[in-house]
Amino acid sequence: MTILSDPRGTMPMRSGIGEADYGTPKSDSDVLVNVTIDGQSHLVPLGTSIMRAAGEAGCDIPKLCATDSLQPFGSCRMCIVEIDGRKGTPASCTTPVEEGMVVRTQTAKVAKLRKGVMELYISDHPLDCLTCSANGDCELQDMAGVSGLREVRYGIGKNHLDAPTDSSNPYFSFDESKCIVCNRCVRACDEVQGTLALTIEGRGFNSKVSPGGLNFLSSECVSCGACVQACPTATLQEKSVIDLGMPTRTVETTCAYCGVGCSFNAELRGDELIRMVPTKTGGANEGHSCVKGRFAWGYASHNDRVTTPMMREKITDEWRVVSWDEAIQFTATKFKAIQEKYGDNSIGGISSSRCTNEEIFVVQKMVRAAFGNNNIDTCARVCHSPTGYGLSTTFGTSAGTQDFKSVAHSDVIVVIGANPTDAHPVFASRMKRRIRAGAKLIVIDPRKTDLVESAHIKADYHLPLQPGTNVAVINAIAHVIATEGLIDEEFIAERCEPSQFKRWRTFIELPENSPEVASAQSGVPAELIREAARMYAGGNNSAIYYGLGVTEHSQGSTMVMGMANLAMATGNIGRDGVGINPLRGQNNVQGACDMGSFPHELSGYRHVSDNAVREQFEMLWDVKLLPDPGMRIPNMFDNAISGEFRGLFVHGEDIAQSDPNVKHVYGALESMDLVVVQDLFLNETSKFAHVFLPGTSFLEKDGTFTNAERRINRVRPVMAPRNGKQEWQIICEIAQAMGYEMHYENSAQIMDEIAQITPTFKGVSFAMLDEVGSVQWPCNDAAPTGTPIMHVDNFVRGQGQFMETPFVATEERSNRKFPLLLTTGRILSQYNVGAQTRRTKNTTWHTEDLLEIHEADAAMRGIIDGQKIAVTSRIGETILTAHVTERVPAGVVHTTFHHPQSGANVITTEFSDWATNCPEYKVTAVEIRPADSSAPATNTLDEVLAKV
Amino acid sequence: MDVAILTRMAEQIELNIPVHEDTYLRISEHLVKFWTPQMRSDFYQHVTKNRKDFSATLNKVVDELRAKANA
Repeated sequence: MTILSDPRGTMPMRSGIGEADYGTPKSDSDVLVNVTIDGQSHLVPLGTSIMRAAGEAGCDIPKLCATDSLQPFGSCRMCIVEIDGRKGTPASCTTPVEEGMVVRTQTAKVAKLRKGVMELYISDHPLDCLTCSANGDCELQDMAGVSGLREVRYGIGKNHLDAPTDSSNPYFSFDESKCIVCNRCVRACDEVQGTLALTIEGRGFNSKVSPGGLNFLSSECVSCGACVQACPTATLQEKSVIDLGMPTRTVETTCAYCGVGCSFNAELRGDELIRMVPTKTGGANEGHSCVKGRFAWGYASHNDRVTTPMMREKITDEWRVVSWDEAIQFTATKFKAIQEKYGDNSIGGISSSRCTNEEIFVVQKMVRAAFGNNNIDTCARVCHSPTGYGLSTTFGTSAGTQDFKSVAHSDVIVVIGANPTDAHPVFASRMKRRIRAGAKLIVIDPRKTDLVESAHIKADYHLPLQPGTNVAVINAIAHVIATEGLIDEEFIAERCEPSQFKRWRTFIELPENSPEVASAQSGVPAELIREAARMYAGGNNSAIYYGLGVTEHSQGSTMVMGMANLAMATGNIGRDGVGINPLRGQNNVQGACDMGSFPHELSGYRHVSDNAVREQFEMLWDVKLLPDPGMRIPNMFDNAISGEFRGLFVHGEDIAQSDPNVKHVYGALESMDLVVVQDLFLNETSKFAHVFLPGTSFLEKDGTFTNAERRINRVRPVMAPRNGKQEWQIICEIAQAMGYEMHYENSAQIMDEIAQITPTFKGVSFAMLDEVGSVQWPCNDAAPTGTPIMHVDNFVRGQGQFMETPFVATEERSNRKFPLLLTTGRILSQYNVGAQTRRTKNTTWHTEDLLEIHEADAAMRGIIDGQKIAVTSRIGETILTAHVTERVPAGVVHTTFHHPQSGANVITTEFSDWATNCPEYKVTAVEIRPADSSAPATNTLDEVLAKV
Repeated sequence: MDVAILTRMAEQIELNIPVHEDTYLRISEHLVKFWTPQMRSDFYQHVTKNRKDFSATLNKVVDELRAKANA
């Protein structure tokens, strides 16, 4: 047999084109030891493996089972070396360097042994290298070349060459015949992802990788791609590579799904995207990914993409394809005509957290400078605006306090109203790694999410509160801390405003905030609240992570302040492992807020009424700006219905599907004279639009996203814009057509303007980001390399401000007519309104939105699993499919909102957060009945129990 | 904008800001910071025409807004 040599003549780089793999993880030790490798001496950190030390010194040691994203395993025997003074040939991956150690990596003895090992591997491996999908990207092929193997002496015997291929997963296949049982996939599933879906089944010759279930699709595999990433052969291979061939070039960019903001190498052949590979140097993800970022990018080239501008006079007319000039002129002329007739305040815009900082910045600039008003709002209004209010009030700025890495130092982790396993999966893996290593976990959530209990993770405390009672519970936790002497008096004396603290302490110690009272309000046993409070206060480093289950309530802002109070009261701010950390829903929620997308703030969270700040913008933009806040999204809708607001520019947001009480939204949109939608696809909102401007996908954008840890990441164009223009260019052209000169040569110039006018971004530029990879704001003269952790010595506002947080029950309550409380959330494979993920193979896992209902509630209504059911609130009715489960408690139902036909927001209400008007998506009183029955449910609980 | 909506918003704000001597100031600051001038003006007009329908605090809020020329 003839063995193909390494076609690239390089050492393995399966981690992605151009990324080196040193075989074992880097050591964090500050202690250096001197080691001699192949005659050269090197200083390396204590704890470094010989393999890594050699690799960093340029002496690559052959390997198969080792990769630097995984702990050393020592099974393949390819990395053996000789060490002076030691017997045998130890594996270099599992042997750490020692002071004075002398290592020889390329002796005749180890070469012979490696060749023998390789010969055994190859004796049971298909020799179809030329037609193999991994040809050119196969570590086995590379190692065969490196070992100098030229023939295999063993004849055809018992082998695995006819082993089957599992193609059940829509994105990758598992070709068992090519598996060398190196365990890398199994270890990646364990160590990187934390799902532990894979195992090695059988012993000896019968050992094989198994996904546990019938196949990968039916198993617990979450399709994160970690196993594919880790596989050194073509065993686990992307189907896109199998179909299209190996990529030849790479562009580093940032994922456009959730607020984790993972860095990826987009790998292409020519202009065709072959695969997305997470980069190990990505600050947010460090080489990991989820099913959306790794695989669900096909929507960008989906046939539904609209790539030409379209117009129509009336929303009942057919769309007419027009030129860019015509669309832009019509838009500008019509907006101006509306303003002439109804006043300057009669139009406005909504920016999108899906877009880049640069695009968002020019949208808000267009509204403030060209429209001449402050009627700019952002979709962050409907998700994390309470975070902005609460954290600004208490700490001084609207941002999470930590970087993601910080969780590795947490001793107690509190997760409130968030389900990171589904919504922020890459961060969830990081968090679970810490929990499995011993951190305590408290989950405050009505549902039994995976964090409460799943394979290998179990929360120490689950506080299953009734939707709408967050503030009662957080106050009760603070009450325990205050009344049991658990307050960090020293921290408060040094860091917080004494008068506010005194006021808060008097308030929080009132009996009305006791666990007993909170128990009656929330349904959480008082003792559970006490024990959780003691655990949080007693941890050396306690951190709070939260999601939309905190913010999307009538007391969202109060709850954010309640959590901030808790962190200050226990001194859990300003160092690794602690803090208050919003898990942002969309890729650039943080950036949209930073860029001045709220109607009351200019970029960098500076109020429009600040004369000095406004003057800076006026000088730079050469325009007079208004000193008063503009309309929020709900104000725009209300004013549209009353006839005062007549024109809206909607940038990349499907408000007719995603905003609450959509009938109200429909009414507002129908009332307007001009609705302009800029998006990738025609959507629910475009049904009410007069102009449709095609947008660009993240693969076409050139700019930056800012993730939930304030990390500014470059988004680089992987391909040319399918619509022919960058979105910021389109915005500039509308502004110019309206008479305001707005011009940039490129998006780097926009960032330069952002940096010029925004103190927290002063040190940021594309050139800087290209050099350092990413940076966390504030990045300025005081922090030239960015700020991973905020409020270290002082709070941004100076002293931390405690705020009293009285619990005010929502008006949306269950009653005889609507006895159940509906809450909403996301699922792993789908994303928000599904515009992207529904246009990918992710629909394999989630074809429709389901309504989770407890078996007692289902039985009482004669509902069985899988049945179509009508869900009715005081606002409207929709039809969903029932999923009977114990994940929700009796009295609570839950659904997702990924499919427009489900119409989850047909039934959500107009109630909102008192401070920010963030909608109360998480609490809607509903009743449920079988969809084929118009009669109300008649079964009583007694009748049901009698049957049981 | 419908004054019923403004009234509801203001009452929600009042409910959520703890009662102290300066509560009316905090509410009026909130309205100045986050409400459009038109919203404040409409609310002022509505409260001053129907003072008895509003709490003492909200009455003081609109007076404060007018005193500071914010309504």
